[in-house]
Amino acid sequence: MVGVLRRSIVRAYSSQTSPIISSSLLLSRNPIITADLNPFEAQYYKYQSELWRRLMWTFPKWFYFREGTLAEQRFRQLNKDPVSYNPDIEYPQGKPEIRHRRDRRFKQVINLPKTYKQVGEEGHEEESLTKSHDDLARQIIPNSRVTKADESNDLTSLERKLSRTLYLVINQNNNWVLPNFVESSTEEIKALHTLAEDGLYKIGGEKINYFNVSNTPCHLRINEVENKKEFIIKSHILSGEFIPQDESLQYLWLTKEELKGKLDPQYYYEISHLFSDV
Amino acid sequence: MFKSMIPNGNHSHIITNTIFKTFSRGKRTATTINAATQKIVNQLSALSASRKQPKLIRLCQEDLIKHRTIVNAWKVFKRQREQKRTAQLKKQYESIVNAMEDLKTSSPELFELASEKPKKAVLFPLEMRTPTDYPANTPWIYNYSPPAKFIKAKKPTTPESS
Amino acid sequence: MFSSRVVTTSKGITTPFQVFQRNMTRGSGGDAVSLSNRRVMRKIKMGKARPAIFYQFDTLVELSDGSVVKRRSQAPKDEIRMISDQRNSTLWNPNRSDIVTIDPNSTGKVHKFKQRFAFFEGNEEQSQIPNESADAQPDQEKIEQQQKASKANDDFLDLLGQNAEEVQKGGKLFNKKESRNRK
Repeated sequence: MVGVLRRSIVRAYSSQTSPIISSSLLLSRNPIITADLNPFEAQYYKYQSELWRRLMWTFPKWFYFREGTLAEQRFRQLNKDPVSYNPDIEYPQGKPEIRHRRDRRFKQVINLPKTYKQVGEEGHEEESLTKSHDDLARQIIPNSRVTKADESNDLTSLERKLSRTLYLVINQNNNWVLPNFVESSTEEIKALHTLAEDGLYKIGGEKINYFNVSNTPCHLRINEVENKKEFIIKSHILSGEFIPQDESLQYLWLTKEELKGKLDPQYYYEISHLFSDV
Repeated sequence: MFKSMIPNGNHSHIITNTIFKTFSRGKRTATTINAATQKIVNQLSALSASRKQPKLIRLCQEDLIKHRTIVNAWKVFKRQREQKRTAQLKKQYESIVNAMEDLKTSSPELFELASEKPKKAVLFPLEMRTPTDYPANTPWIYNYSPPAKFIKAKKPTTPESS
Repeated sequence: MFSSRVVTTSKGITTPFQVFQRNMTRGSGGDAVSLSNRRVMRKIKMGKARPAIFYQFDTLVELSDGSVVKRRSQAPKDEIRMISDQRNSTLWNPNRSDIVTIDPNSTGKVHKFKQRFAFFEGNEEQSQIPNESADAQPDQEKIEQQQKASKANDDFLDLLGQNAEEVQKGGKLFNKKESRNRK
C-alpha cells in the first residue's frame, strides 16, 4: 500500500521540475506565567478550595506558638476566641461546639501576625523612602500580569501576553508566514534543523538562545506556488532577542488566535494543529 | 507439661511482687495512674484527631444535587478538553509521519540526518522555566551572550572571518 | 512491647511466659506506661475513615527575580521570600552575566546591628576595614599588614608572661539546665 503511494508521488513530481526542499522554523516563546482561568474553572477551583478549608483540621497553635512567648501574644491579639457554649442560652442556629478554641461547625479563619509593615500603616511612608527593593523584610507585592507591552499593544515585544505561547512570523511579499529557509549551495547537504538554525541567525542575529525540540520535522507543507516543500522544525526561544538584521524585515510575535487573523486562511488551516491553545 | 518448659527452676530470682487488682462488684476504685502514663494521656488528648477534626458536612438533598451537578459539569469540561488535546496530538503525530515518509523518497540523505539519534541524550535546557503566577521584575531575559566555544565554532562559516 | 510476667503457683513452680500487651512501653525512669486499649486504638468503622487535612495557609512565595508563586503551606507564614534559588544561581543560568545575588549573611537584625555599631568593635574589625577600602593596594602589602596585625596581638600575650591565658570575651551565657540542677 505504502509502496504504491510512494510510486505515485514520485511519478507526480517527475513530470515537472522536482520541488526545492526547504525548512521552516516554528519558533515559539513558551508561557512565562500560568494560564488564565476561564470563568467556569475559576468558580470550580473556588468551590473546591472552600470545601477544603471547611474540612481542614484545627490549626495546631500550641505547636507553632508556644505559650507565653511574644509571638503567641501577638497571635492571640489577632485571633479572638469564638463564643463558647452556655447551657443556659438557647441557640436557634445550632449549639457551638468548641474544641481547641475552634467552632467545629465552621471553617477556621486565622489571621497571622505580619512580619512587614503594611501600606498605610504608621511609619510606613518614611521608611519606604529609605528602604527600597533591597529590604528583605518588605511586603510582597506581585507584579502585574499585564505588562507595558500589552498596554501599548507592541506586537514585536517578547514581553506581551505572558500567559500564552507566542509564535514568530515574518512578512514576505506582503504575506505573513513562518520564516522559511532554502539551502543556497547545492553540493553540501545540510540537515533540516541546521539549515533552520543558520537561517534564523542570519535574519535575527546571534543573540538568540533557543532550544531545538528535535531534528525531525513536525510537518510538511507543499507550497505549489513556489514549487517548494517546506519542512517545519519546532523550537523554543529561551532568552535573548530576535533583532532583524535587515532593516526592512517585519516580524511579529503572535498567539494562535492572532495568527488566525494575520495568516492566509489556507496557510493557517494547514498548520493550525501545530499551535498550542495555551 | 510446665516442667518441661522450665530449666531446673533457675528463674527463681525473677520472682517479684506482682500485685493483682482485686475487683469488687459494683464498687469503683479510684485508679491511680503513674506520672508517666498521665503525661502520655495528656499528650494524646491534645493530639487526638477527633478533637481537631471539623464536623462532617451534612448536605441536604438539594445541596447534594447541586454538588453532584457541579462535579459532573467539571467532569464534562475536563473530558472535552482532554478529547480536544488528544485529537490535536494525533494530528501532530500524523503530520510528523507524513513529513518523514515524504522525506524518505524526496531526499534519503536528509531523511538519514533527520532521523538519526543524537549520541548524547538531549536534555531540556537549564534555562527553561516553569510558569509562575506573577511575572518577574523583568519578564524576559534579553541579556544573552552565546558561549565562547559556540562563537568559535560558528566563525568559519561567517563571511567576515573567511 | 512484651513484658514477662512470672506466675507463682501454690506448688512453688514458677512459669515465666510472655504476655502480649498493647500500648505498653517502658519509661526511661523505670516506671511503665500503660494505657487502656480503648483510649488509643479506637476502631474506625468501615467508610468512616476521614483523611487528615492539616491546616494550610495561602502563602505567596517570591522567587529571587521577583516572580511570585501562590501556594498552600502548613507553616504559619503568609509570605516567603527566597534569597537564592534557581532564578539567580549561576549553575542554572550559564549564559547570563547580569545576575544579582544577595549575601545570605547580610540579612536580619544582627547584620543591621553590626553595620551601625561596627565602630565600637575590637581590633580585628578595625584592621579589616581599611584593608577593604584600599583595594588598589597591591596584594603583597595587604598580606604584610595582616601579618603585622597578628604579630601585635601575639606581643601582648608575650608581655604578660608564659602561662598567661586570654580572658574570655563577653559574659557567660545563662545555662538553663545547670541552674535547674542547682535548685
